[in-house]
Amino acid sequence: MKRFLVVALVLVLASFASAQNWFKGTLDQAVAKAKAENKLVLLDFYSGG
Amino acid sequence: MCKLLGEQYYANPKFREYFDNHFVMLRADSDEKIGQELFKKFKINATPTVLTIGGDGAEVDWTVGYGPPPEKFHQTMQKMVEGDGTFKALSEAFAKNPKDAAAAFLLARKWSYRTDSAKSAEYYRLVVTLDPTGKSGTYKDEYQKWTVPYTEYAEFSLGGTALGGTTRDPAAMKAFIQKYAKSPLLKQAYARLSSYYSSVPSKDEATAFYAEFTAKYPEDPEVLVAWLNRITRDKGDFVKGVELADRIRLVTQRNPVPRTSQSLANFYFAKGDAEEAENVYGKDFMSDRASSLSYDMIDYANYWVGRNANLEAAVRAAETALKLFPDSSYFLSQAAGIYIKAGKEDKALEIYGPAYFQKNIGNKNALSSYTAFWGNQGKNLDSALEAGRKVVELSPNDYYCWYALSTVLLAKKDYDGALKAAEKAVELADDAFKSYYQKNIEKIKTAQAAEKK
Repeated sequence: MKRFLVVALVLVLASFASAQNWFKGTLDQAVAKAKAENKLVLLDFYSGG
Repeated sequence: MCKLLGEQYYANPKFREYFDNHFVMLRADSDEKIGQELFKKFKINATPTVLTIGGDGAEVDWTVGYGPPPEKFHQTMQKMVEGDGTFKALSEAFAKNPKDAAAAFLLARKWSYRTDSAKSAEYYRLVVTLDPTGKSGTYKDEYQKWTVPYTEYAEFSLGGTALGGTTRDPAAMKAFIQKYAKSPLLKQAYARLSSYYSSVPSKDEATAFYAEFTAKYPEDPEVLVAWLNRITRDKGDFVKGVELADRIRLVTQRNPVPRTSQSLANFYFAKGDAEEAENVYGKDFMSDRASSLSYDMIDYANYWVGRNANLEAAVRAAETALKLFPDSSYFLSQAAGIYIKAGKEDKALEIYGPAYFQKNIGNKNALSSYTAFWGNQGKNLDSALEAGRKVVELSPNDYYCWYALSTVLLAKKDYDGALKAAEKAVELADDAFKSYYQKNIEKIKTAQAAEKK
Protein backbone atom coordinates (compact mmCIF):
# COMPACT_ATOMS: atom_id res chain seq x y z
CA MET A 1 0.00 0.00 0.00
CA LYS A 2 2.78 2.36 1.00
CA ARG A 3 4.68 1.64 -2.20
CA PHE A 4 1.53 2.27 -4.21
CA LEU A 5 1.13 5.68 -2.56
CA VAL A 6 4.70 6.62 -3.41
CA VAL A 7 4.20 5.66 -7.04
CA ALA A 8 0.95 7.64 -7.18
CA LEU A 9 2.68 10.68 -5.67
CA VAL A 10 5.50 10.53 -8.20
CA LEU A 11 2.96 10.37 -11.02
CA VAL A 12 1.11 13.38 -9.66
CA LEU A 13 4.33 15.35 -9.37
CA ALA A 14 5.32 14.37 -12.91
CA SER A 15 2.05 15.64 -14.30
CA PHE A 16 2.50 18.93 -12.46
CA ALA A 17 6.02 19.31 -13.76
CA SER A 18 4.83 19.26 -17.36
CA ALA A 19 2.19 21.97 -16.79
CA GLN A 20 3.11 25.63 -17.15
CA ASN A 21 4.04 27.55 -14.03
CA TRP A 22 1.86 30.62 -13.88
CA PHE A 23 3.24 33.79 -12.36
CA LYS A 24 1.97 34.30 -8.84
CA GLY A 25 1.52 38.01 -8.42
CA THR A 26 -0.24 41.07 -9.76
CA LEU A 27 -0.16 42.40 -13.30
CA ASP A 28 2.14 45.26 -12.22
CA GLN A 29 4.59 42.80 -10.73
CA ALA A 30 4.47 40.72 -13.90
CA VAL A 31 5.16 43.81 -16.02
CA ALA A 32 8.11 44.75 -13.79
CA LYS A 33 9.51 41.25 -14.10
CA ALA A 34 9.01 41.33 -17.90
CA LYS A 35 10.87 44.66 -18.06
CA ALA A 36 13.77 43.40 -16.00
CA GLU A 37 14.09 40.19 -18.04
CA ASN A 38 13.30 41.78 -21.43
CA LYS A 39 10.25 39.57 -21.94
CA LEU A 40 6.55 40.05 -22.66
CA VAL A 41 3.75 39.44 -20.23
CA LEU A 42 1.52 36.74 -21.66
CA LEU A 43 -1.86 37.42 -20.11
CA ASP A 44 -4.18 34.46 -20.57
CA PHE A 45 -7.86 35.24 -20.13
CA TYR A 46 -9.33 32.01 -18.93
CA SER A 47 -12.76 30.76 -18.10
CA GLY A 48 -13.06 27.27 -16.75
CA GLY A 49 -16.77 26.79 -17.45
CA MET B 1 -11.66 26.15 -25.87
CA CYS B 2 -9.77 27.51 -22.88
CA LYS B 3 -9.22 23.98 -21.68
CA LEU B 4 -7.95 22.86 -25.05
CA LEU B 5 -5.51 25.76 -25.23
CA GLY B 6 -4.21 24.81 -21.79
CA GLU B 7 -3.87 21.14 -22.57
CA GLN B 8 -2.45 21.40 -26.06
CA TYR B 9 -0.34 24.52 -25.75
CA TYR B 10 0.56 25.72 -22.26
CA ALA B 11 1.11 22.20 -20.89
CA ASN B 12 2.98 21.08 -23.99
CA PRO B 13 6.62 20.37 -23.04
CA LYS B 14 7.62 21.18 -26.61
CA PHE B 15 7.00 24.91 -26.06
CA ARG B 16 8.16 25.03 -22.47
CA GLU B 17 11.58 26.47 -23.18
CA TYR B 18 10.13 29.13 -25.47
CA PHE B 19 7.72 30.21 -22.74
CA ASP B 20 10.55 30.41 -20.19
CA ASN B 21 12.69 32.50 -22.52
CA HIS B 22 10.10 34.94 -23.80
CA PHE B 23 7.16 35.28 -21.45
CA VAL B 24 6.11 36.07 -17.93
CA MET B 25 2.91 34.07 -17.91
CA LEU B 26 -0.05 35.37 -15.99
CA ARG B 27 -3.52 33.95 -15.92
CA ALA B 28 -6.73 35.94 -15.47
CA ASP B 29 -9.34 33.46 -14.31
CA SER B 30 -12.96 34.57 -14.70
CA ASP B 31 -13.84 32.57 -11.59
CA GLU B 32 -11.56 34.66 -9.38
CA LYS B 33 -12.05 38.23 -8.28
CA ILE B 34 -8.56 39.34 -9.27
CA GLY B 35 -9.08 37.76 -12.68
CA GLN B 36 -12.45 39.44 -13.15
CA GLU B 37 -10.81 42.82 -12.58
CA LEU B 38 -8.37 42.11 -15.41
CA PHE B 39 -11.24 41.12 -17.71
CA LYS B 40 -12.83 44.47 -16.92
CA LYS B 41 -9.61 46.48 -17.22
CA PHE B 42 -8.87 45.15 -20.72
CA LYS B 43 -12.53 44.87 -21.80
CA ILE B 44 -12.28 41.18 -22.63
CA ASN B 45 -15.54 39.64 -23.79
CA ALA B 46 -14.40 36.30 -25.16
CA THR B 47 -12.21 33.45 -23.95
CA PRO B 48 -9.66 32.30 -24.57
CA THR B 49 -8.06 35.67 -25.26
CA VAL B 50 -4.30 35.93 -25.05
CA LEU B 51 -2.95 39.42 -24.62
CA THR B 52 0.73 40.32 -24.60
CA ILE B 53 2.01 43.34 -22.73
CA GLY B 54 5.47 44.91 -22.96
CA GLY B 55 7.81 45.90 -20.15
CA ASP B 56 6.45 49.46 -20.49
CA GLY B 57 2.98 48.18 -19.58
CA ALA B 58 1.56 48.86 -23.08
CA GLU B 59 -0.41 46.27 -25.02
CA VAL B 60 1.62 44.60 -27.75
CA ASP B 61 -0.95 42.37 -29.39
CA TRP B 62 -3.78 39.90 -28.80
CA THR B 63 -5.37 36.83 -30.25
CA VAL B 64 -8.84 35.48 -29.59
CA GLY B 65 -9.91 31.85 -29.78
CA TYR B 66 -8.02 28.63 -30.12
CA GLY B 67 -8.13 25.73 -32.56
CA PRO B 68 -5.61 22.95 -33.05
CA PRO B 69 -2.88 22.38 -34.00
CA PRO B 70 -0.89 24.06 -31.19
CA GLU B 71 2.00 24.64 -33.63
CA LYS B 72 -0.17 27.09 -35.55
CA PHE B 73 -1.07 28.93 -32.38
CA HIS B 74 2.61 29.00 -31.48
CA GLN B 75 3.35 30.81 -34.74
CA THR B 76 0.88 33.50 -33.71
CA MET B 77 2.70 33.86 -30.40
CA GLN B 78 6.10 33.96 -32.11
CA LYS B 79 4.89 36.80 -34.32
CA MET B 80 3.93 38.70 -31.19
CA VAL B 81 7.41 38.23 -29.78
CA GLU B 82 9.01 39.28 -33.06
CA GLY B 83 6.70 42.29 -33.40
CA ASP B 84 5.42 41.09 -36.78
CA GLY B 85 2.07 42.70 -37.64
CA THR B 86 1.25 43.31 -34.00
CA PHE B 87 -1.16 45.92 -32.73
CA LYS B 88 1.80 47.87 -31.42
CA ALA B 89 3.71 47.71 -34.74
CA LEU B 90 0.61 48.69 -36.73
CA SER B 91 -0.19 51.57 -34.38
CA GLU B 92 3.36 52.89 -34.75
CA ALA B 93 3.22 52.55 -38.55
CA PHE B 94 -0.11 54.34 -38.66
CA ALA B 95 1.14 57.13 -36.38
CA LYS B 96 4.10 57.64 -38.69
CA ASN B 97 1.93 57.59 -41.83
CA PRO B 98 -1.68 58.52 -41.07
CA LYS B 99 -2.57 57.94 -44.75
CA ASP B 100 -1.72 54.23 -44.51
CA ALA B 101 -5.13 52.66 -45.24
CA ALA B 102 -3.72 49.13 -44.95
CA ALA B 103 -2.51 49.79 -41.41
CA ALA B 104 -5.90 51.32 -40.56
CA PHE B 105 -7.65 48.23 -41.91
CA LEU B 106 -5.49 45.82 -39.96
CA LEU B 107 -6.05 47.86 -36.82
CA ALA B 108 -9.78 47.69 -37.44
CA ARG B 109 -9.51 43.90 -37.69
CA LYS B 110 -7.56 43.78 -34.43
CA TRP B 111 -10.29 45.69 -32.64
CA SER B 112 -12.92 43.56 -34.24
CA TYR B 113 -11.28 40.38 -32.88
CA ARG B 114 -11.28 42.11 -29.54
CA THR B 115 -15.07 42.57 -30.01
CA ASP B 116 -14.71 46.34 -29.69
CA SER B 117 -17.12 47.38 -32.45
CA ALA B 118 -16.82 51.11 -31.74
CA LYS B 119 -13.04 51.12 -32.18
CA SER B 120 -13.13 48.82 -35.21
CA ALA B 121 -15.79 51.02 -36.85
CA GLU B 122 -13.60 54.05 -36.23
CA TYR B 123 -10.74 52.45 -38.20
CA TYR B 124 -13.01 51.03 -40.91
CA ARG B 125 -14.29 54.56 -41.51
CA LEU B 126 -10.69 55.75 -41.85
CA VAL B 127 -10.08 53.02 -44.45
CA VAL B 128 -13.04 54.18 -46.54
CA THR B 129 -11.94 57.81 -46.27
CA LEU B 130 -8.26 57.13 -47.05
CA ASP B 131 -8.88 54.65 -49.86
CA PRO B 132 -12.35 55.16 -51.36
CA THR B 133 -11.58 53.13 -54.50
CA GLY B 134 -10.12 50.08 -52.73
CA LYS B 135 -6.55 50.09 -54.02
CA SER B 136 -4.57 49.74 -50.81
CA GLY B 137 -4.73 45.97 -50.52
CA THR B 138 -6.95 42.92 -50.13
CA TYR B 139 -8.26 40.87 -47.26
CA LYS B 140 -8.45 37.10 -47.53
CA ASP B 141 -10.76 35.04 -45.38
CA GLU B 142 -8.90 31.93 -44.28
CA TYR B 143 -11.97 29.74 -43.92
CA GLN B 144 -14.31 30.88 -46.65
CA LYS B 145 -11.51 31.48 -49.12
CA TRP B 146 -12.72 34.75 -50.58
CA THR B 147 -10.56 37.81 -51.12
CA VAL B 148 -11.91 41.37 -51.17
CA PRO B 149 -10.31 44.83 -51.17
CA TYR B 150 -9.87 46.34 -47.70
CA THR B 151 -12.33 49.09 -48.52
CA GLU B 152 -15.06 46.68 -49.60
CA TYR B 153 -14.70 44.69 -46.41
CA ALA B 154 -14.69 47.90 -44.38
CA GLU B 155 -17.95 49.03 -45.96
CA PHE B 156 -19.51 45.62 -45.32
CA SER B 157 -18.46 45.75 -41.68
CA LEU B 158 -19.74 49.28 -41.24
CA GLY B 159 -23.05 48.15 -42.74
CA GLY B 160 -23.19 45.41 -40.12
CA THR B 161 -22.35 47.80 -37.30
CA ALA B 162 -25.10 50.19 -38.40
CA LEU B 163 -27.62 47.34 -38.39
CA GLY B 164 -26.72 46.45 -34.82
CA GLY B 165 -26.94 48.45 -31.65
CA THR B 166 -29.95 50.49 -30.70
CA THR B 167 -30.37 52.59 -33.84
CA ARG B 168 -30.58 49.72 -36.38
CA ASP B 169 -30.11 51.51 -39.68
CA PRO B 170 -30.14 49.40 -42.87
CA ALA B 171 -29.01 52.22 -45.20
CA ALA B 172 -25.28 51.44 -45.16
CA MET B 173 -25.79 47.72 -45.86
CA LYS B 174 -28.27 48.50 -48.63
CA ALA B 175 -25.70 50.84 -50.14
CA PHE B 176 -23.14 48.04 -49.94
CA ILE B 177 -25.44 45.69 -51.87
CA GLN B 178 -25.97 48.34 -54.57
CA LYS B 179 -22.30 49.16 -54.88
CA TYR B 180 -20.86 45.63 -54.72
CA ALA B 181 -23.37 43.51 -56.62
CA LYS B 182 -20.74 40.89 -57.41
CA SER B 183 -19.10 40.78 -53.99
CA PRO B 184 -18.39 37.41 -52.36
CA LEU B 185 -19.88 39.08 -49.28
CA LEU B 186 -23.17 39.82 -51.04
CA LYS B 187 -25.12 36.92 -49.59
CA GLN B 188 -23.84 37.64 -46.11
CA ALA B 189 -24.88 41.25 -46.58
CA TYR B 190 -28.38 40.16 -47.59
CA ALA B 191 -28.49 37.73 -44.66
CA ARG B 192 -27.65 40.52 -42.21
CA LEU B 193 -30.38 42.67 -43.73
CA SER B 194 -32.74 39.72 -43.59
CA SER B 195 -32.36 39.38 -39.84
CA TYR B 196 -33.27 43.07 -39.61
CA TYR B 197 -36.27 42.79 -41.96
CA SER B 198 -37.48 39.68 -40.15
CA SER B 199 -39.02 41.86 -37.46
CA VAL B 200 -38.19 45.56 -37.37
CA PRO B 201 -39.60 47.43 -40.39
CA SER B 202 -43.14 47.57 -41.69
CA LYS B 203 -44.76 44.74 -43.63
CA ASP B 204 -44.51 46.61 -46.94
CA GLU B 205 -40.83 47.42 -46.54
CA ALA B 206 -40.16 43.81 -45.61
CA THR B 207 -42.09 42.55 -48.64
CA ALA B 208 -40.02 44.73 -50.97
CA PHE B 209 -36.79 43.51 -49.39
CA TYR B 210 -37.68 39.82 -49.45
CA ALA B 211 -38.94 40.01 -53.05
CA GLU B 212 -35.46 41.23 -54.01
CA PHE B 213 -33.64 38.74 -51.78
CA THR B 214 -35.57 35.69 -53.03
CA ALA B 215 -35.30 36.81 -56.66
CA LYS B 216 -31.55 36.78 -56.19
CA TYR B 217 -31.47 33.32 -54.54
CA PRO B 218 -34.64 31.59 -55.79
CA GLU B 219 -33.46 28.05 -54.99
CA ASP B 220 -32.03 28.68 -51.54
CA PRO B 221 -34.37 27.27 -48.88
CA GLU B 222 -32.94 29.47 -46.12
CA VAL B 223 -33.70 32.57 -48.14
CA LEU B 224 -37.21 31.39 -48.97
CA VAL B 225 -37.82 30.46 -45.34
CA ALA B 226 -36.75 33.93 -44.21
CA TRP B 227 -39.62 35.47 -46.17
CA LEU B 228 -42.06 32.76 -45.11
CA ASN B 229 -41.23 33.43 -41.46
CA ARG B 230 -42.00 37.10 -41.91
CA ILE B 231 -45.34 36.27 -43.56
CA THR B 232 -46.16 33.93 -40.67
CA ARG B 233 -45.27 36.67 -38.22
CA ASP B 234 -47.52 39.20 -39.96
CA LYS B 235 -50.26 36.65 -40.63
CA GLY B 236 -49.88 38.33 -43.98
CA ASP B 237 -49.99 37.38 -47.61
CA PHE B 238 -50.97 33.69 -47.43
CA VAL B 239 -51.09 33.31 -51.21
CA LYS B 240 -47.44 34.31 -51.44
CA GLY B 241 -46.78 32.15 -48.38
CA VAL B 242 -48.22 29.03 -50.02
CA GLU B 243 -46.16 29.70 -53.12
CA LEU B 244 -43.02 29.97 -50.98
CA ALA B 245 -43.91 26.93 -48.90
CA ASP B 246 -44.43 24.83 -52.03
CA ARG B 247 -41.08 25.95 -53.38
CA ILE B 248 -39.34 25.21 -50.09
CA ARG B 249 -40.85 21.74 -49.98
CA LEU B 250 -39.75 21.13 -53.54
CA VAL B 251 -36.12 22.13 -52.98
CA THR B 252 -35.83 20.34 -49.63
CA GLN B 253 -37.88 17.22 -50.33
CA ARG B 254 -34.89 14.90 -50.38
CA ASN B 255 -33.47 16.23 -47.18
CA PRO B 256 -36.00 18.11 -45.05
CA VAL B 257 -34.17 20.17 -42.43
CA PRO B 258 -35.92 20.29 -39.03
CA ARG B 259 -35.78 24.07 -38.68
CA THR B 260 -37.16 24.52 -42.16
CA SER B 261 -39.95 22.04 -41.53
CA GLN B 262 -40.74 23.82 -38.28
CA SER B 263 -41.04 27.10 -40.15
CA LEU B 264 -43.38 25.44 -42.63
CA ALA B 265 -45.51 24.05 -39.79
CA ASN B 266 -45.64 27.49 -38.18
CA PHE B 267 -46.84 28.96 -41.43
CA TYR B 268 -49.56 26.34 -41.91
CA PHE B 269 -50.77 26.82 -38.34
CA ALA B 270 -50.87 30.60 -38.85
CA LYS B 271 -52.95 29.98 -41.94
CA GLY B 272 -55.25 27.65 -40.02
CA ASP B 273 -54.18 24.49 -41.84
CA ALA B 274 -53.28 22.11 -39.01
CA GLU B 275 -53.46 19.12 -41.31
CA GLU B 276 -50.67 20.40 -43.56
CA ALA B 277 -48.62 21.29 -40.48
CA GLU B 278 -48.97 17.67 -39.39
CA ASN B 279 -47.94 16.44 -42.83
CA VAL B 280 -44.81 18.51 -42.90
CA TYR B 281 -43.62 18.28 -39.27
CA GLY B 282 -45.90 15.79 -37.58
CA LYS B 283 -45.65 12.47 -35.89
CA ASP B 284 -43.69 10.78 -38.70
CA PHE B 285 -41.13 13.51 -39.14
CA MET B 286 -38.60 12.44 -36.53
CA SER B 287 -38.94 8.70 -37.05
CA ASP B 288 -38.34 9.22 -40.77
CA ARG B 289 -35.25 11.23 -39.99
CA ALA B 290 -34.03 8.73 -37.41
CA SER B 291 -34.48 5.96 -39.93
CA SER B 292 -32.56 7.69 -42.68
CA LEU B 293 -29.87 8.69 -40.19
CA SER B 294 -29.54 5.07 -39.09
CA TYR B 295 -29.06 3.88 -42.66
CA ASP B 296 -26.42 6.61 -43.05
CA MET B 297 -24.65 5.40 -39.92
CA ILE B 298 -24.62 1.77 -41.06
CA ASP B 299 -23.32 2.89 -44.46
CA TYR B 300 -20.63 4.90 -42.72
CA ALA B 301 -19.65 2.04 -40.44
CA ASN B 302 -19.44 -0.43 -43.33
CA TYR B 303 -17.30 2.02 -45.26
CA TRP B 304 -14.72 2.33 -42.50
CA VAL B 305 -14.58 -1.30 -41.41
CA GLY B 306 -14.10 -2.08 -45.11
CA ARG B 307 -11.01 0.11 -45.04
CA ASN B 308 -9.98 -1.20 -41.64
CA ALA B 309 -9.72 2.38 -40.34
CA ASN B 310 -11.73 4.55 -37.93
CA LEU B 311 -12.97 1.37 -36.32
CA GLU B 312 -14.07 2.95 -33.07
CA ALA B 313 -16.14 5.56 -34.84
CA ALA B 314 -17.57 2.87 -37.11
CA VAL B 315 -18.64 0.70 -34.19
CA ARG B 316 -20.09 3.72 -32.39
CA ALA B 317 -22.14 4.61 -35.48
CA ALA B 318 -23.47 1.07 -35.82
CA GLU B 319 -24.35 0.97 -32.12
CA THR B 320 -26.17 4.28 -32.36
CA ALA B 321 -28.23 3.01 -35.30
CA LEU B 322 -29.06 -0.07 -33.31
CA LYS B 323 -30.09 1.98 -30.29
CA LEU B 324 -32.61 3.80 -32.48
CA PHE B 325 -33.98 0.56 -33.95
CA PRO B 326 -33.14 -2.24 -31.51
CA ASP B 327 -35.56 -4.73 -33.06
CA SER B 328 -34.63 -4.29 -36.69
CA SER B 329 -33.17 -7.55 -37.93
CA TYR B 330 -31.51 -5.64 -40.76
CA PHE B 331 -29.61 -3.34 -38.39
CA LEU B 332 -28.82 -6.25 -36.06
CA SER B 333 -27.21 -8.28 -38.82
CA GLN B 334 -25.40 -5.21 -40.21
CA ALA B 335 -24.09 -4.29 -36.76
CA ALA B 336 -22.97 -7.88 -36.19
CA GLY B 337 -21.04 -7.83 -39.47
CA ILE B 338 -19.44 -4.53 -38.46
CA TYR B 339 -18.49 -5.93 -35.05
CA ILE B 340 -16.85 -8.93 -36.71
CA LYS B 341 -14.85 -6.78 -39.12
CA ALA B 342 -13.80 -4.60 -36.19
CA GLY B 343 -12.51 -7.70 -34.37
CA LYS B 344 -15.33 -7.89 -31.83
CA GLU B 345 -16.88 -11.23 -32.57
CA ASP B 346 -18.10 -11.62 -28.99
CA LYS B 347 -20.22 -8.49 -29.37
CA ALA B 348 -21.62 -9.80 -32.64
CA LEU B 349 -22.68 -13.00 -30.91
CA GLU B 350 -24.16 -11.02 -28.06
CA ILE B 351 -26.57 -9.12 -30.30
CA TYR B 352 -27.01 -11.60 -33.14
CA GLY B 353 -26.05 -15.01 -31.77
CA PRO B 354 -27.91 -18.03 -30.35
CA ALA B 355 -30.06 -15.83 -28.08
CA TYR B 356 -31.38 -14.00 -31.15
CA PHE B 357 -32.13 -17.35 -32.76
CA GLN B 358 -34.11 -18.54 -29.74
CA LYS B 359 -36.05 -15.32 -29.62
CA ASN B 360 -37.01 -15.53 -33.30
CA ILE B 361 -37.48 -19.25 -33.56
CA GLY B 362 -40.80 -19.03 -35.40
CA ASN B 363 -39.82 -16.15 -37.68
CA LYS B 364 -38.89 -17.42 -41.13
CA ASN B 365 -37.31 -14.20 -42.42
CA ALA B 366 -35.26 -13.59 -39.28
CA LEU B 367 -34.00 -17.18 -39.20
CA SER B 368 -33.07 -17.44 -42.87
CA SER B 369 -31.10 -14.17 -42.65
CA TYR B 370 -29.43 -15.42 -39.48
CA THR B 371 -28.49 -18.71 -41.12
CA ALA B 372 -27.06 -17.13 -44.27
CA PHE B 373 -25.23 -14.47 -42.26
CA TRP B 374 -23.29 -16.95 -40.12
CA GLY B 375 -22.89 -19.40 -42.98
CA ASN B 376 -21.17 -16.70 -45.02
CA GLN B 377 -19.11 -15.62 -42.01
CA GLY B 378 -18.09 -19.26 -41.36
CA LYS B 379 -18.67 -18.69 -37.64
CA ASN B 380 -21.23 -19.71 -35.02
CA LEU B 381 -21.94 -22.66 -37.30
CA ASP B 382 -23.67 -25.03 -34.89
CA SER B 383 -26.34 -22.50 -34.04
CA ALA B 384 -26.59 -21.48 -37.70
CA LEU B 385 -27.07 -25.11 -38.75
CA GLU B 386 -29.81 -25.55 -36.19
CA ALA B 387 -31.49 -22.39 -37.48
CA GLY B 388 -31.06 -23.54 -41.09
CA ARG B 389 -32.67 -26.93 -40.43
CA LYS B 390 -35.46 -25.25 -38.54
CA VAL B 391 -36.19 -22.74 -41.27
CA VAL B 392 -36.40 -25.26 -44.14
CA GLU B 393 -38.78 -27.20 -41.94
CA LEU B 394 -40.85 -24.04 -41.45
CA SER B 395 -40.81 -23.07 -45.15
CA PRO B 396 -39.86 -26.03 -47.30
CA ASN B 397 -40.84 -24.15 -50.47
CA ASP B 398 -38.76 -21.02 -49.90
CA TYR B 399 -35.61 -21.01 -52.04
CA TYR B 400 -33.82 -18.47 -49.84
CA CYS B 401 -34.15 -20.77 -46.82
CA TRP B 402 -32.51 -23.60 -48.75
CA TYR B 403 -29.80 -21.26 -49.98
CA ALA B 404 -29.15 -20.14 -46.39
CA LEU B 405 -28.85 -23.75 -45.26
CA SER B 406 -26.42 -24.48 -48.09
CA THR B 407 -24.06 -21.72 -46.95
CA VAL B 408 -23.80 -23.27 -43.47
CA LEU B 409 -23.28 -26.78 -44.81
CA LEU B 410 -20.59 -25.49 -47.15
CA ALA B 411 -18.85 -23.74 -44.26
CA LYS B 412 -19.01 -27.03 -42.33
CA LYS B 413 -17.54 -28.81 -45.37
CA ASP B 414 -20.60 -31.04 -45.75
CA TYR B 415 -20.36 -30.69 -49.54
CA ASP B 416 -22.96 -33.26 -50.43
CA GLY B 417 -25.47 -31.76 -48.04
CA ALA B 418 -24.61 -28.26 -49.28
CA LEU B 419 -25.10 -29.33 -52.91
CA LYS B 420 -28.47 -30.87 -52.17
CA ALA B 421 -29.68 -27.73 -50.42
CA ALA B 422 -28.27 -25.50 -53.17
CA GLU B 423 -29.97 -27.56 -55.88
CA LYS B 424 -33.23 -27.32 -54.01
CA ALA B 425 -32.80 -23.51 -53.97
CA VAL B 426 -32.32 -23.45 -57.77
CA GLU B 427 -35.31 -25.68 -58.27
CA LEU B 428 -37.58 -23.42 -56.21
CA ALA B 429 -36.18 -20.04 -57.26
CA ASP B 430 -38.05 -17.66 -59.55
CA ASP B 431 -36.67 -17.61 -63.07
CA ALA B 432 -35.07 -14.24 -62.53
CA PHE B 433 -32.92 -15.60 -59.66
CA LYS B 434 -32.11 -19.06 -60.99
CA SER B 435 -28.78 -18.07 -62.54
CA TYR B 436 -27.69 -16.40 -59.30
CA TYR B 437 -28.31 -19.55 -57.28
CA GLN B 438 -26.75 -21.66 -60.02
CA LYS B 439 -23.49 -19.84 -59.28
CA ASN B 440 -23.79 -21.01 -55.69
CA ILE B 441 -23.78 -24.61 -56.88
CA GLU B 442 -20.62 -23.96 -58.87
CA LYS B 443 -19.03 -22.37 -55.84
CA ILE B 444 -19.72 -25.47 -53.75
CA LYS B 445 -18.39 -27.77 -56.48
CA THR B 446 -15.21 -25.72 -56.77
CA ALA B 447 -14.68 -25.87 -53.01
CA GLN B 448 -15.27 -29.62 -53.02
CA ALA B 449 -12.78 -30.15 -55.87
CA ALA B 450 -10.17 -28.03 -54.10
CA GLU B 451 -10.65 -30.04 -50.93
CA LYS B 452 -10.12 -33.34 -52.79
CA LYS B 453 -6.76 -32.14 -54.14
